[in-house]
Parts: sequence; structure tokens; C-alpha cells
Amino acid sequence: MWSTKFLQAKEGESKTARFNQHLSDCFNFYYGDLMVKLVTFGFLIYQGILYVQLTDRPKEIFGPMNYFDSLLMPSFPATWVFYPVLAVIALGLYLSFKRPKVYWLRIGVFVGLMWVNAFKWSYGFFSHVGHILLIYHFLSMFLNSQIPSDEKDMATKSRSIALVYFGIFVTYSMSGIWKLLGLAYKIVFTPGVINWLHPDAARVNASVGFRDWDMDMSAISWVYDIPVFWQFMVLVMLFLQVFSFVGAVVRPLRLWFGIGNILFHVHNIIFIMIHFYLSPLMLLVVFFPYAFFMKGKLGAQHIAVEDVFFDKASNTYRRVYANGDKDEFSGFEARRQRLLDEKPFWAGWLFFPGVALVASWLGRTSTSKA
Amino acid sequence: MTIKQRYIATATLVIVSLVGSVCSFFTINAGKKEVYPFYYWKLYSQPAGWELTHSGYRIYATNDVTAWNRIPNYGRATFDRDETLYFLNPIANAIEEGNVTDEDLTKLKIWCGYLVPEFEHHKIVKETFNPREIIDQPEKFLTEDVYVVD
Repeated sequence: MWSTKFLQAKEGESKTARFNQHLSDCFNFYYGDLMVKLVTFGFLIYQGILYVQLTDRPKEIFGPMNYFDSLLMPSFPATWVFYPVLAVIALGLYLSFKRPKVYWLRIGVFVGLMWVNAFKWSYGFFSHVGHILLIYHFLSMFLNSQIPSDEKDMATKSRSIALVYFGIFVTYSMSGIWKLLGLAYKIVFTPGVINWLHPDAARVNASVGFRDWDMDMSAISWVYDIPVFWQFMVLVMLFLQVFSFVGAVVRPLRLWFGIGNILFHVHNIIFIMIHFYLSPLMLLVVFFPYAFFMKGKLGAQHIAVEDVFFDKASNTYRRVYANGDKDEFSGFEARRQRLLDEKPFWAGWLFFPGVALVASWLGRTSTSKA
Repeated sequence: MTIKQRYIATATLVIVSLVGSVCSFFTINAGKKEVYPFYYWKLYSQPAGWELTHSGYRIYATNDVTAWNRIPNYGRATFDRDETLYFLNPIANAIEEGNVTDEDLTKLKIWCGYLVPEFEHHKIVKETFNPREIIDQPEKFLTEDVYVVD
């Protein structure tokens, strides 16, 4: 069961195409992991500053919020414990970069981060605002960030990477599925009330967010007068969230689901007073297409595309690599693979779930008319 | 560790995560704590305020018990707006549901004295408002005493 063949070759894809994909997966993961380490280092500095603020609070109101926390941090940590632990975690981060093969260093960093995270969230509520940082360190703790030299190893590694991405994206999918279920329930059982597709949904939702913070919303309330826009955005957001997990396996979509969820967080910060900062930052550094922007660094291993051919009559697209290997696609796949070479950034849109289905349906009706 | 073993270990972690999140769903619904703290994502499954009546808790404080002052939720250096709500809401909810612990009430008392030290007496008030109207009429809400702290 472990050899599950997800991320399989597409029809028409050559061995070389697969090799290049695995190489850029490993490359992206290497730089992503490095950036996550830097973000984590910043997170530790932030916690160090936070400690000073939280020591001001009465010790009596501190209390662990879940089973991990009761185990890890039953009471407010003393200064001589807290700062040395921060320093040890920072050292662990550095060592895990220097010695990427040693997985127990990564496990140690994860446990340390769990401990540090318990500290801020022991005052009546356990927030999930730092969840992506923690999930990333959790799911990637057995991975070596270095790029393997062996072709087969690279393929296995890129499946491991996809699993880490899946673990991150699936949190958004779950959140989206809950909203979808909530919406369906409201439409079926209580059709009169405000559900997510009601024209006033965004307004009342924002109103509560602003009121929770005792902030005046009248200055921006005009944005909720724009007709249809918010309902449309709810549908876009539902789609992006529910299908986020697909981004783990469909490479051109990683960037787009990353961007989509970042925009979702930014929207929440501006319009609903729900402030998640670490999560969008993590999405940015984890899903940033490093290989695309740092082609020069990809190295000699990368096998360049020598030539491409598009045959309009038969609707086929062929890619010829420097080593003589060929990819050959037909139909809609030919068109989107061609766009992937010409406009690698925007081509991702053609890989969203459902697009191929609609395209094949449109293709069939247009040929039947002809 | 070989690359294959690392892959198997990672796959196991993903499964552990998913199972943990399902367990959290059940433990939370049973009124207990989360077993696995990162995956339970039932957030905003309805727009907040969809019933067109919404409630929030605030501290009211005074030195003279005949006239109370509403203490708005403003950010403090050691307790920002979210932290203030996160601290207050679960305890106030528990008071209303009649299952608050003495420990929580002690915490609440210490906390009110810490957060609003300029007044001697504190109470928790539930404010109920219509989210559509409150935008233009911030003073239009009903109040109900939940608990007199001291």
C-alpha cells in the first residue's frame, strides 16, 4: 500500500519530463525549507519579546488548554527556563540546516515549537493562528531537505513532499467543506435565513467582526453595497478552499492554491478583523515557485527543452528535450501543456478541477456542430 | 534512514494528522479538549450574525455601583483585542450555561482587576445587537448582567 502511485505520469509524458518535475519539486522544497527555517527563527524572536509582555500578566490566570499543553507546560515557565529553551530550538534549527540527514534534530525542533506555542495559548483559548508553521514542522520532520542525486530517490522524495503539501492544504479543504455543509444545511432546512450566499452575509459577518473589536465599520460599509460581488467571492473562496488539497498533486496549481489562500487571509485581515499573519507568510514561503525564478541555480541536472511543435490540424503538442526524449499530448492537454511553456504563470488556471471536463465537453459539442 | 523509509514515515504522519483531527471533532463535541490541536477547522460554517441578533460580552466597571461604565474592547500592550475576547468568552459562556468552575471564577476576578485596575467593581454584561443596525447605530444594543465579579 505504501507504493501508492499518486503523482503518476500523464498520458504522453516522457521520463525526462518526470525527471524535471521531480528535480524542481526537490529544489522548491530545499529553498522552501530554508525559508521556513528563517520564518521560524523570526517566530522565536517574536516569542522572546512576547515573554516580556506576558510576564506582566497575573500567573494565576495561566492554564493549559489541551492535552499536549498540560503535559508540556503546566504552569508559566520561568525566565531561566524559557530563554535557554528558545536558544536551544534556534540552535536545533541551525544544526538541522547544517546536518539535513539527521531527522531527530527536526523532531527536536518540532517538539520545541510545540512547547513554545503552548505558552501564548494558555489563557482560556487555544488559537490556531500558527498552525501552518507547526504542521509544516510536524509533517516534514522525517525529510531531508537536500536534493537527492539518484533519479529514483528523487521520485520518492517528490511524493513525500506532495504528502507534506497535502497535509497543509487539507486544513483549508476541511474548512471549506464545513462551510459547504453549513450552506447546504441552511438552504435545505431553513431557506429564509442569512446563509453564505445571501446578499447581506458578508456585511453581517464583517459587522460582528468589527463589533468584537469595538471598531467603527461605517467608513468601509459601502463596500458591502456592491451587488453580487460578495456572493461571487464566497463561491470563489468555497471552490478554492474545498479543492485546496488538489494543489498537492497537480503541480501547476500549487502556486494558485497558495495565492488563493493567502488572498483569503488578507481579505479576513482587512474586512473581518480576523488576523492571521503567520499562516499567509508560511503559505508564501512554502509554495513559492523557487525553481521557476531561479532557473540558473537548478543546475546541470535539469534537462532543457530543445524544441516544441504544435500541430493545429491534429491538435497535438510535442516537446523535444536536449537528450532526445519527447512528450506528446493531444486534445485539451496539448493546449494547456503548450500554454504551460508559453505562459507558465497563468497556465495554472487550466489545471483547476473541472476545467478539463468542461473543455472536453465544449470540444465535443463544437465538433458535433461541425 | 533511507528515502523510502522517510516516505513511509511521512505518510504515517499525514494519516495520524487526519485521524487526530477526526478525534478532535468528537472530543470537542463531547465538551472535552482537542486531542490533536491543528486540524479541527470548523470555522465560520455560517456567516457570523446570520440570525440578525448577536451577543458579545464586555466588562462593565465602576467605583460607585449606581453607575457602571462600559469598558470597550481596546488593545492593551499585554492583552490584545482577540486575547481579551478569547479569555472572557469561554468563562462567560460557562457562567450562562451554569457549569462554571470556582477556578474559572477566581481567574475571572483576578483578570478583571488586572485588566481594568482603575475601577474597584467589575461585572460581566452580555450585549445583544442586530449586526445590520449596529454599523450605523453603535449605541443600539440590549444589556443583560451575566455575573457581578466584585
